[in-house]
Amino acid sequence: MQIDVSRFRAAFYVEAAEHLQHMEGALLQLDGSERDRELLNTIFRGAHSIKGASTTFGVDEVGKFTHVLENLLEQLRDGAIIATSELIELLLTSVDVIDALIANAKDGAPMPDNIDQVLNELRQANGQTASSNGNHQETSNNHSSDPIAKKKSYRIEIRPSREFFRFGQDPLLLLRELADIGNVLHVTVADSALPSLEELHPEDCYLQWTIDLETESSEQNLQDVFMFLDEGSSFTITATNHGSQGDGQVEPPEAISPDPKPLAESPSVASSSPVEAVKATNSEPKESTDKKGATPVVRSGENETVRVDRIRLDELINQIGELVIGASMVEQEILSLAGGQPLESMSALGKIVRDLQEMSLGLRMVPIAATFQKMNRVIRDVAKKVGKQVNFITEGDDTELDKSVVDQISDPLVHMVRNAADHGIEPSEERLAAGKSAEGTVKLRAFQQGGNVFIELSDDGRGLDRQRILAKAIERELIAPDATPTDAEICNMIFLPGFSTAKEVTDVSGRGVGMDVVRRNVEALQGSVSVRSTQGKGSIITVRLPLTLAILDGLLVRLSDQIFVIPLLSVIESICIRSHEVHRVANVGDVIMLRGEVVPLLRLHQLLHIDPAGDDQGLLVIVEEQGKRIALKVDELLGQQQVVIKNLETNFRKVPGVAGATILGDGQVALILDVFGILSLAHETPNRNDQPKLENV
Amino acid sequence: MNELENHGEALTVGSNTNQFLTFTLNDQDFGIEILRVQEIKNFTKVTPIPNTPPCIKGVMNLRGTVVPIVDLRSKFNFPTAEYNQFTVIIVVNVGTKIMGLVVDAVSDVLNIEADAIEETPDLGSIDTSFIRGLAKSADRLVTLLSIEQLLFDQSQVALAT
Repeated sequence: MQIDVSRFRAAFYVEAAEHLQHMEGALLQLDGSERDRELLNTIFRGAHSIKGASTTFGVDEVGKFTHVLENLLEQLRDGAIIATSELIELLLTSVDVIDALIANAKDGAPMPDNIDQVLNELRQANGQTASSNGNHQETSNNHSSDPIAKKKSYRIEIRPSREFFRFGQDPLLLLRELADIGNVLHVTVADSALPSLEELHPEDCYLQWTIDLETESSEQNLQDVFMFLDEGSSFTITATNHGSQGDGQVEPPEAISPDPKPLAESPSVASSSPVEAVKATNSEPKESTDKKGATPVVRSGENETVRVDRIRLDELINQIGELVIGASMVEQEILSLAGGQPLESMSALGKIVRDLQEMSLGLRMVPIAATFQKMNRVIRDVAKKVGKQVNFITEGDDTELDKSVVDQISDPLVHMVRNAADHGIEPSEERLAAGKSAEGTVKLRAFQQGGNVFIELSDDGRGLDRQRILAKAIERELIAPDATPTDAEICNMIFLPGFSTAKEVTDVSGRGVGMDVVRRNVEALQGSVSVRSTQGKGSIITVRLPLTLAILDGLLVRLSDQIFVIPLLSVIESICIRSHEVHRVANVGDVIMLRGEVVPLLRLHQLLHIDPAGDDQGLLVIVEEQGKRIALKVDELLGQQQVVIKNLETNFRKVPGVAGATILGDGQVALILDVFGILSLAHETPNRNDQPKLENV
Repeated sequence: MNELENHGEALTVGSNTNQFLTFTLNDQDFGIEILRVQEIKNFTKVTPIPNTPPCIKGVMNLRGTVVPIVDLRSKFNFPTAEYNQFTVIIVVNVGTKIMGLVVDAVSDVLNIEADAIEETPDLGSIDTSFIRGLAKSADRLVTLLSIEQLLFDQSQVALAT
């Protein structure tokens, strides 16, 4: 059977990335708890999985490299060597190399140039211990070089699921791998489940195997053979009489009676209800547990996930959004038919539909943990580079955010975290002199409040230097020389474009692009960012993000007969003014005075080419965008509502001043205004009607 | 699946006939390839989009998809007409996009042999790239439109400007 593996490569890349992430996370935790078996196992498992899969999918470079890495990891796991911080560093670098190798295989990114060096270092680390430790050899498949019989006998039972072959597995490979590890004494096959030829499905697996094996490898190694077993399949490894030169006559221990649910009796049990199978195999050894008793391992999903194409997921969420609108349209119609009498069944349905929508939006949510972990790495690298001691703490790793928000917040966070470690935290001497501990602390905290998620980055460094910020702002002409901004205003000046206060530009941060990029990125996600700081004590940067990008809190306003949505995030307040409060400036624009502040007034009708409705109520919505306040004139405020954002670009193109569209409860499309875009519209030629119109679509 | 596709292909290639949906605009007949047509809808209220060319009537909600609506009268600089009960929106697929075309009325589906399509005559300086050709049907002359040329390419241009 020839399978085109390239189709599966995409899945391999995704999985490899996850394994690498787990490995990196475990490596970072390893620092300080060098002997944590669980962590070492996680790292080893990751490497092993990548190695296995990369060989299968023909990504040989990755396979070769991981093989060397795996040897070293195996020794680590077995306690033959201890994870020193240098070694952890090397392993982290190795993770990077694998990442680069995968990128190379995936999209032809350049090969990492340090691969040979890292390989050598890995071999060296491995070789040293190999020589000091005698007979520890390359991989698990070492037949004895040690004559002292540490050989153990095991009885291994393999119970493949019916679908075994369809998962691309092959019992022959398992048997061969076992033969590599040790001396196979005896193999029996149970064919009792085999149906008659008419009923036999050639792609199903009906057989079970029992293998008696003699090996000096650890039981762990044996279990690793079955690492890729699908969930419906199971296996048991039982240690039989230790140290004996088993000759196949090993008596099966009592407890290892045949599978409690032989396939013959109920062939579908194993596959259709893996949970039951787990229970069955799990309960069995309890009766017989001695130290080396049966250790059945069933690959049940400890963290079961289903991979779904993002587009399909979005389509589903979209459709459910439609369902909500559809249901509310039906509800309104029924209401009018029934003469205003609400139908109980209809409102029950409405509730179900809304619950369904809430659940569907939850599907896109992922915990921020992975991003935080990436920051851990960033801090570590920066601290090492600039020679500072930084302790990194995360809190609220489980906080969930929309997948696309999580993807896009990573870069701004890297920037902030780098800044904190590079500029915020002082060198140890300076800290000690200031009466602080030598080690600085950077803390990343995420929490949810209302419809927002907050990410807070705090450090106990030197805090923001007001004097320097102010001097710099004046020097760069960001503010007037005689301005007297408040303390908070000074702090938030670091977000102004072209601001970077580092005394010297370091390799790590301060390339002129600074916090203003962070702010722009966060605002692109419809979030906001602010900073609080106490000089000498540290700073706290708070990033506020919407839970999801698919939904927006909007203020519905009416302009003549059209409804528009203004993102609530930019709305400061709405006020009512009388006509004499509007001041004409040089006959080009209008302003209003808002508590002593001059705020430009924009007539939305004019900018959006809508014929004004007759009565002018003087209703203004004050919005703030990028620090600028403007007053938008509207005809009526219709209320506040969560709206599902639809892209105009999908079927059309970007329209200046419009951020997107949404579908209202009555099925009509309403445009979502882009406040920043409106501002730029206003900056263009005041009378756009005079411009030649594009006749094209 | 494959069989189906091949089958369909064989049909069109073999008979060498294309089907066109014809419609009227200002008493003139136009046709578009029927494979481009997704559905035909009665004209419903659209939401205007500011700062777009006048031929863009706005957007409408097509079962959850926001679809731009192009008034072909306006596009071809015909005099504007009141929308009546015959006014329909032809929803077409242009590349990956879905757009709606407002026309006066749909008339018929015509089978037109490939060799019955006349080449677009040279009209001097007038851009005729969006005209695929001319076809005679009974006593009428049908202008066959290439909607990609008509909507998609130019919208790309419009996007760039």
